[in-house]
Formats: sequence, C-alpha cells, structure tokens
Amino acid sequence: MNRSNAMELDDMKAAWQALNQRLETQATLNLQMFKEGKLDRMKRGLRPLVWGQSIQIVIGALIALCGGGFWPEHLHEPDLLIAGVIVHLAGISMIALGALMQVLIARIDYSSPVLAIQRQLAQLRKVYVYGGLAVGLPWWLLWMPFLMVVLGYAGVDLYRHAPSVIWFGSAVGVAGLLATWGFMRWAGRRPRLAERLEDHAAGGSIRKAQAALDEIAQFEHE
Amino acid sequence: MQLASMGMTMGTARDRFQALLAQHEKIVFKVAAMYCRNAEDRRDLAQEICVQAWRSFGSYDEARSFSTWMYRIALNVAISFARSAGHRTRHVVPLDEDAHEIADDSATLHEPDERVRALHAFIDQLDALNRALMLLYLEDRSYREIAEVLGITETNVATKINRLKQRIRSGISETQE
Repeated sequence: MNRSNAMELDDMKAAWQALNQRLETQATLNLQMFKEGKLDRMKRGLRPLVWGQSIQIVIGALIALCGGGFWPEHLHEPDLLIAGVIVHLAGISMIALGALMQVLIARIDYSSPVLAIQRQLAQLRKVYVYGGLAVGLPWWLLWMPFLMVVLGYAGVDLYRHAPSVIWFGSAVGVAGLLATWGFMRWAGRRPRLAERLEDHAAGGSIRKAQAALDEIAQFEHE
Repeated sequence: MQLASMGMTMGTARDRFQALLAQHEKIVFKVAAMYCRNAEDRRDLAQEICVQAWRSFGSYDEARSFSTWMYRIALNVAISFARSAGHRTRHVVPLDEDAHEIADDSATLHEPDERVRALHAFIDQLDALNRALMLLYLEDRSYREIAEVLGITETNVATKINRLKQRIRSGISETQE
C-alpha cells in the first residue's frame, strides 16, 4: 500500500472520468444513427415476446372455436362432449395466459425505479416460464381429446372405434409428463447442465429469474 | 405534464427526444461502459437504451428531471442486458480491452491505465444492482437522486455507499498490496 485510501477513492473517480472521455468520441457516432430516424424500425425488433404471445392467443382462439363449436352438438355422447369441453377449455386457457402476459408486458415501464422494474421483469419471466409449461405440458394428454374433436367433425367417434388409442395414449402421456417433471428436477440440481439449457429449458429460466429476485432482495436488505 | 397528454405530434416528440438525448447522451455511454467491456456490446446496449427511451418517451413528465428518467431507463435496460444469456459470455471475457486502448494511445497514460484496471477489477466484482449504485456514486449524483433512480430510501443509499466505499478500499488494497 503506497497511497492513502482517500486518494484511492479519488483515483477511482478520475479513472472513471478518463475512461468515459475516451468512450464518448466513439459513442457520439453511434448515437448519430438514431438521429437519422431509425428508432421506429428498431422498436419492432424488440417485441418477439409480444409476438409470441399474440400467436398463442390466435392459436388458442382457433382451438377454443374448434372445441366450443363441437361439444354443444354432442350433448348426448359423453366421450365427445367431454373431449369437446376439454379442447374448449384448453383454448380458453391459452388465450387467458397469452392475454395475461400481454398485460404484464404492457405494464412494464422502464422509467420506473430500477429495483421495482427488475423485480417486475424477474416475476414476468417466472410467469412466462410457468405459463409456457401450463400451456405446453398438458398436450402430452390433450392431443387425444383434440384428435377426437377433429375426427368427430369428420363423423368418426375415435373412442368408440378405437378405445385402445385413448388408453395407450393416456399411458404414454402420463409417462411423458412424469419424465418431463423428473428431467426438470434432475437438471435443476446440476448447475452446469442447467446453464447450458438456460435458453431452452424451463428449469434454467426459473432458476435465473429466482436468482435475480434473490439478488434484488439481498440488495434491499443487506 | 406528460408529453402524450400535451398533444405532441410524433415528429415534434421525436425532435424533442433527440434534443434531450443529445444533451444527456453521456448517461447512455457511461451506463454502457459500466456494464460492457466489449465495444460491440457497448454499441448494442447503447442502441437498446435509446430504443427503450424512445418507447417510454410518451410517458415522460417534462416537469421532472430528464437525467433521473434517463438513468432509470438506461440502468433497467443495462441490467436486463447483462443478465441475458446471449450477452453474458462477451460481457465478462475481455476484461482489459479499454485499458489496452488507453495504454496503446499514449505511454504517458500509464498511471491512469493502472487506475482503469483497478476500477475494472472492482466493478467486475459487483453484481448488476451494485454496479448501478457504483455508477451513480462515481457520477457524484445526490443521495436523493440515487434513491429516486434505484427505488430505495436515502438512508439506504447512504448505508450502501458507505459499504461500497469500504469495499473499494479493501478492493484497492488487495490489488496494490
């Protein structure tokens, strides 16, 4: 140690100023690009999440229409009635989750205080991931009532003609759900694997969102 | 009063935004420098900050400080940027890129180069939120403005800055001993 602490703090500020003076020349040129009217075009590139949710709402609406238009015509055929209602509810759930995400995204105001927005973003990420799981995972089983409805429109009652498809499909679906759940738990306990899967696997995303929330809580209370 | 409620046309709002951005563009550069070592990352982050600022500009209240508003947006975008997996690798690797740029420029800058290295070494130890605090501290922002930007109390700001100073001292001691 050669210098006093007070001097070192000043040194740090001086270093910061020196560093920023050098960066400004370079960055001024970069900002010029925005002044040439390219902001609006770039704005659209930042909305993949909104687009994804919009697509989910459209698909959900098609599925809801498919189920909703089917079951009232089969009130006296329990298997087709149940299949139609399930498909109808699945479509409504997709619409509801998509709309919920759209509302949460629209509520994010980046000009709000940092801690509030970072917490909101981490929570949004969790809702997004859990919502994705809630919409996606049931399709291990939902494909059967969906198939029943599609074939039902063609006048075929799948359950009456080939009940084994339903029973076999149910067994595969339950096994698939259990395997997915087991994989997520297994991956969540392996940080390296979870990190590699981070962009693709829900377990990693949830862990990341939770880590951000933990960091915010620690920052607030430390 | 918010710009959106003032009936500003899109063209007028864009002109106003560009004027304000030009006056406060240093905030963008400084936040980008705090969160990114790599020049390409800095450019990407500066771009994202400007785009997000423009998107939020309709709700900007002219009666309030633009710098506080800009710091909030810039830091929120930067923290999200730093946390995104796509940028993490580039974000952490080239630790001394800027220091080399400075060292290459002039031999007389040897002393500032050491300081920059020490600064980078310290900043790299901080999590995203403490980097925000460190930036505002280095920029000599008032405790009140720091509290407004981060969304914590002024007392909390004072406590955290004291801890940050202690960490700076111990951090510099470690690097110089």
